[in-house]
Amino acid sequence: MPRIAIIAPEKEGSFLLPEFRKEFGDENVKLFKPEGIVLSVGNKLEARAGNEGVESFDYILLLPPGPKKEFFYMIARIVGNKVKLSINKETLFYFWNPPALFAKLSRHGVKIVPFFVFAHPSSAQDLAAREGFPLVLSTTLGKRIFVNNEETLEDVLKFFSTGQMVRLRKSIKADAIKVFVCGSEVIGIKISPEVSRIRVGKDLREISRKILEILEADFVELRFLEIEGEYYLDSISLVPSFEEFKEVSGRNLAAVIAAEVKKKLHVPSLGEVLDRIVLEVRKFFGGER
Amino acid sequence: MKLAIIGPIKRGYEEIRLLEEAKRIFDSVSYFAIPQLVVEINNEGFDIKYKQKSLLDYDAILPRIPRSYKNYGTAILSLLELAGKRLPIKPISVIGSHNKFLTLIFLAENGVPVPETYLALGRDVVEKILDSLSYPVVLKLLYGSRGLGVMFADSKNSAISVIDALARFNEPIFVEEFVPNPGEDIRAYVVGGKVFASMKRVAKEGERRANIGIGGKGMTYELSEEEKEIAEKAAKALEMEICGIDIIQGPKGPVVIETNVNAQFQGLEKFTGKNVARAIVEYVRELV
Repeated sequence: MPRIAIIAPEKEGSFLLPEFRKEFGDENVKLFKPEGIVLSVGNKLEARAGNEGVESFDYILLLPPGPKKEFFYMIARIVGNKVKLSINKETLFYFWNPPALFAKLSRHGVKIVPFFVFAHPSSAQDLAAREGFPLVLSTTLGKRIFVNNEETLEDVLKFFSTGQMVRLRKSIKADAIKVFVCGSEVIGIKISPEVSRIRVGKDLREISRKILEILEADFVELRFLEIEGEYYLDSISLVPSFEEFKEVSGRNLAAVIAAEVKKKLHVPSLGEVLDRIVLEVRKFFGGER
Repeated sequence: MKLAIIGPIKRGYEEIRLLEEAKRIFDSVSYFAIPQLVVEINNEGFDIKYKQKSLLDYDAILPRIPRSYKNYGTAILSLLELAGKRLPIKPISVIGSHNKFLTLIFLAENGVPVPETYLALGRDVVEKILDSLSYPVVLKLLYGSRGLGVMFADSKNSAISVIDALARFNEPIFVEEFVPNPGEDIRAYVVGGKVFASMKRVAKEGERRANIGIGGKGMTYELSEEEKEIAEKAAKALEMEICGIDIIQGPKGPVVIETNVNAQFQGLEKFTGKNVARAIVEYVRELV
């Protein structure tokens, strides 16, 4: 049975661990907090968790929270050529880089909510004068701040540090939808203006799966704005909202991920193994019939 | 032929020299301060602008991305690359070079000798490895420059004090084997993938770090073939065609201790008499 390492913050890890243990067995699944990992270079390029090299596992599920994305990138860089990862290092690097990520997706035909990016307060003031209020500011960590006037903008800008990349866009009156996509599963919930379960239609399903394919990830959470019947991508997260989806849609995202990983790792059933043995025996004794 | 130099708001010696030399070679040269650039992304494409001037209208780009703007600088370079611009420094190189541990990963992946180094987010896991180390050890801030953020610990107890301080400020904990050397290092400046100039830097008395900015002295120095090869290999590993590589002579041979995507060259020009700025702009001109 494959061995699985989940490297995630404690809270999110606690959703995944029991589901993965159901699929792969208690002894084959381990959860490591990022604080428990040591990276080393020199004699050996390695990522270790306790007494184990992380590359001794068959699959590593990475849930990189925003502030630690560089550390996760380094883990992926060290072990990515030796072990299957839930997301590859090239895509992880794009998460440093929302502008380039969205520009790339747009080139692939994904409709995006237009935005600006700046790193100095004076740019924000110029943009606000040009675009008008209300505006939405967000950092690469995903926190959204609604700004209705110049005074609020000035106050908000004081919280950003020098060089911090800030995204700015016009506030748009539209339904906001979160979609979780993993393999062929696409699960959606509406989160604004009211929270409700939704049925994911063909268009939304197709665009969500297309984004997952472009990102080459095993799963991802997307946020769309529905504007005049079309879906515009607003943000992407590698850390699913387990609780929110469970509460609104009734679906257990951790179970969905575990099932998908099991499929991906081709864990054969006993029946499949026996069939294979029979086939090989027949071949050995007298050729195939 | 139009050149855009992207750099910090306050132009230092290097930016001023690059502008000076670039004006001799390019038809038009503009300087863009990174903080003043605004990126626009929409369904028609993207742009990177300062007021009405677009970076996409320039034929050649010379980036000088300071540490404080590494993420924004990386984003801008990624977009320029997507737009088909040929860059002397890859977007990943900005992060790779400013992040000291990532630098070592890139180097190790490419067979460049590096000191034994550990990185962790949690204080407790690091304490466990301290017993296996020989002292002194070097502790560094993950992002530091010009010798700042480099600390030495002569014993396990003093290492623990530094680690506790780093943990207190939520800083990643970076512990490196100390490579014995006579308080000097070598700076190799790579242009176009080849070493163009080099110098030795000697630490002031009582100091282990040789950076000029903290009192080190520079002198001309001709690299050995081995040192040259390592410097060029290191630049290639970080995908930087223009950069500074710092090497120290360890007991087992030369070791790369740092790479600099935004390397200074004032000392180099002063001590070697070589025109580093001209070499850089000439190389950028060739790329177009």
